[in-house]
Amino acid sequence: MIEVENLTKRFDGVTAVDDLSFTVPEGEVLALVGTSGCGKSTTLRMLNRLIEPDRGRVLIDGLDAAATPPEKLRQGIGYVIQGVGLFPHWSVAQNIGTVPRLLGWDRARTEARTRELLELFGLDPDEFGPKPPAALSGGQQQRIGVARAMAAEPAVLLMDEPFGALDPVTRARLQEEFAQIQRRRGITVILVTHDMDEAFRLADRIAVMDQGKILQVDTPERLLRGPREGFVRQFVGLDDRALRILSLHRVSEYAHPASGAAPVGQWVGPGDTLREAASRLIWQGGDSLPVIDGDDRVVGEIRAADIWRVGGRGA
Amino acid sequence: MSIAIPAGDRRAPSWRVAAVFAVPAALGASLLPFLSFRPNRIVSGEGILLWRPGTVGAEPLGWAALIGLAALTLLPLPQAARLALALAGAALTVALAGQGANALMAEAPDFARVSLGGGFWVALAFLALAAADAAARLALAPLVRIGLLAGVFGAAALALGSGALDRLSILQEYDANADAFDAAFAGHLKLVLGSLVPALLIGLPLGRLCHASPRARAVAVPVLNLLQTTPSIAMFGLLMVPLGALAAAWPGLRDLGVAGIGAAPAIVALTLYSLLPIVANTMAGFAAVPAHLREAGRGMGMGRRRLLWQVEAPLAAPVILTGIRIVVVQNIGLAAVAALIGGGGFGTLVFRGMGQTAMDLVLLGTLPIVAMAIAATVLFDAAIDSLNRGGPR
Ligand SMILES: Nc1ncnc2c1ncn2[C@@H]1O[C@H](COP(=O)(O)OP(=O)(O)OP(=O)(O)O)[C@@H](O)[C@H]1O
Ligand SMILES: [Mg+2]
Repeated sequence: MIEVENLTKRFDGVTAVDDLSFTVPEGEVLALVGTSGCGKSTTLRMLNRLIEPDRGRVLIDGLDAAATPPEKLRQGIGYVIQGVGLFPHWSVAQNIGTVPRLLGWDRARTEARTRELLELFGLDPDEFGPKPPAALSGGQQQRIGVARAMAAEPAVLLMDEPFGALDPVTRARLQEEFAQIQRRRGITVILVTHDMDEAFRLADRIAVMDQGKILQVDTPERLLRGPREGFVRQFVGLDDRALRILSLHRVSEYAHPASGAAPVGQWVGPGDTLREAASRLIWQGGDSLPVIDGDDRVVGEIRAADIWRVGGRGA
Repeated sequence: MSIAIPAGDRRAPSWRVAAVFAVPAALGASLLPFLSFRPNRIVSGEGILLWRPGTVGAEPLGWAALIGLAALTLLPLPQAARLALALAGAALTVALAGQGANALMAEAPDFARVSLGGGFWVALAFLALAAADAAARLALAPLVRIGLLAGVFGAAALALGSGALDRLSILQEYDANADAFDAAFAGHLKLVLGSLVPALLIGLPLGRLCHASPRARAVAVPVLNLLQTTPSIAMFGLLMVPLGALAAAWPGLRDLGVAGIGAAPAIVALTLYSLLPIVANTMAGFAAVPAHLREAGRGMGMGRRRLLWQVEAPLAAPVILTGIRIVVVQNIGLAAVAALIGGGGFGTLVFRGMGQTAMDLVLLGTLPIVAMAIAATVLFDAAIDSLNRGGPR
C-alpha cells in the first residue's frame, strides 16, 4: 500500500508537483496520466527518494519513506525507468540480477530467479540470458527492464512508461503478460503513461495530472462516464467513450444461455470485450452473436440490446 | 603508424588512397640510393642503386620483385592479400639490404661501412603504410591484431639474431654499443612506466573529482593546460631548481634518487605532461555515462561506491584508456629528451650520435622508440576495442 500526502516539489521556482495526495491500496494498479512535463516522473522519483520532496510525506506499507535509508528503500521498490536503462556492459541475466546481488542473494538463488523471470516474460533463459542488451529488440529490452524491476519480488512497483515506443501489437501483448503477472503476484503498481488506452487496459484507477496537480482519480469507467470539466474531459476524450466503456467489459459477463449448431458467420469468445463483440455485430448485422468456447462449442449468445445498454449513458 | 580510418570507410577502395603515395614511393625507391657504401672514413659514401646491373651490392632481380610486390598492394585485392603482400615486401626489403651489405663487405676492409640509404627507408615506409592500411580495413579482432604485432616483432628479432644483417653499419654500431643500448632500453622503460604510475594515481582521482565538481575543474584544468604547453626543455630546466634544492636540503632524498639532474626531474616532468590527457579523458569518460543509467543504478538501490565501480567506471573505461594510450605514446617520444639532463633512455644514444655526427647511432636510438610507440599503440587500441566491442564482461 502506498500513501502520498501533500507531496510538493519545486525546481527553480517552477512547481513540478503541487500538493499531491493519493492512496494506492495493496494489489492495485494506479495509472498516472497527463501531458508531457506535468510532473509524472517527478512524482515517481519522490516515492523512491531519487528526488527529495520539498513538502509532504510518502508512506509505504505504513512506514515513512523518509525514515528509511534511501538505498534500502529503493532495493525494496521495483523501478522501471523511463527509457528502459539497461546496463550495456552487463548481460541480460546480470541486468536482471542487479537488485538480488545488492541484497546479497547467493549465486544459485539469483540465477534461479533470473531464469524464472525470463521464462515468465517469454524469453528463453539459455538464449537470452548471456546476450548483451544491445542484441535485443526494443520490445525485448522493455521486457527485461520490467523483469529487472521485479527481480527481488518487490511488493511495490513504480513503472515510468514501461511499454512506450512499441508497435501496437507487441505493446498489447506485453500489457497482457504484465497484467497476468501483476494479478497473480498481487503487486501494488504505479504506472506512468500518456497512453490512455494503456491506462484503461491495465489500471484499476486512473489519476489524471496536469501542471503538477491531480485533477481526478477514478476507476476507468467512472472517469469515462463522468470526466470533470476542462482538462480531464479533453484528455480522456469523449468521441469514442462508448467504445472505451465497452472495452472494459467482457462478453462472459453479459452472455445469455444458448445452444445450437456451430455458426457460419461471426462469433465471439467469452473472454473477448464487448467492444470486439460490437464491432463484429456491426459487421455481421442482426441482433445477436453466438459465444463459442475454446472447444468450438456454442455456450451462449450476446445480444446487441445488452451491448448498447452497457455502452450507453444510462448504465 | 596506424592510419586513422573512419569506421564507415572500411570498405572504401583503399588501393586508390595507397596510389596517392605510390608515385613518390616508386620514384624514391628507384632514384635514391638503397644502400650507401663508404670504403674508409675519409671518402664520403657511394650510393648503391638496386637496379643497376654490375654494381656490387645491387640486386636488379630483387629490386624488380620488390617493385612488383609494392605494385600488387595497389590492386583492388582482398585486404588480407594486400596485408600479406606488404609484409612480404617489407621482409624482402630488409633481406635485400642485408644481402647487399654482405656483398659489399666481402671485398672491403673491416673499417668500411654499409649504411641504409633513402631508397631503403622509402620502400620500407611505403610497405609499412600499406600493411597498416590493410590491417586497419580488415577490422581484425583485438587478439588477432596483437598476434600480428607479435609476429612482426618476432620475425624482426629472428632476422636480427640470424646474422644475415650483421654487416649493416647500424648493427655494427649496436655491437660496439650493446651495453649502452641495454642501459638505454632499461632507462627508457623506467622513464615511461615510472611516470605513468604516478600520473595514473594522481590523474584518475583528479579527473573524477573534476567531473563531479565544477570548482575543482575551474582550478585544475587551466593549470594542467599551462603545464602541457610548457616546452619540455624549459620544463626540465624549471624542475632542476626545486628538485636540486630538495636533494640539498634532505640528503636522505638524494639516496632515493632525487636530484636536480638525472631521472628524477625527467620522471616528474613526464608525469606532469601526462596529467592533462588523463584528467581530460577521465572527465570526458564520466561525462559520457548516460544520466539515465546513473538513475537506473541509483533507482535500484546502488550506493555511490557501487554506482562508481559497477556502472560509471566500466562505462567510462574506453575513453579513459584512450587518454592513457595518448600519454604512453607521447611519453615514449618525450622521454628521449630526458637524456639532455642525464635522465637516461634512448635519448642518450640519439644525442651522442648527433654530437659525433654518427647517423647510425642516432638511428640506434630512434628506431626502438618508433617500435615501442607502434607496439604501445597496437596494444592499447586492441584493449580499447575489446572494451568497446565488449558488451557484457
Ligand atoms: N531535475 C530537474 N531540474 C529542474 N527541473 C526539472 C527536473 N526534473 C524535472 N523538472 C521539470 O519538472 C517538470 C516535470 O517534469 P517530469 O519529468 O516529472 O515530467 P513528466 O510528466 O514525467 O513528463 P514526460 O511525460 O515528458 O516524461 C518539467 O517542467 C521539468 O522540466
Ligand atoms: Mg517522465
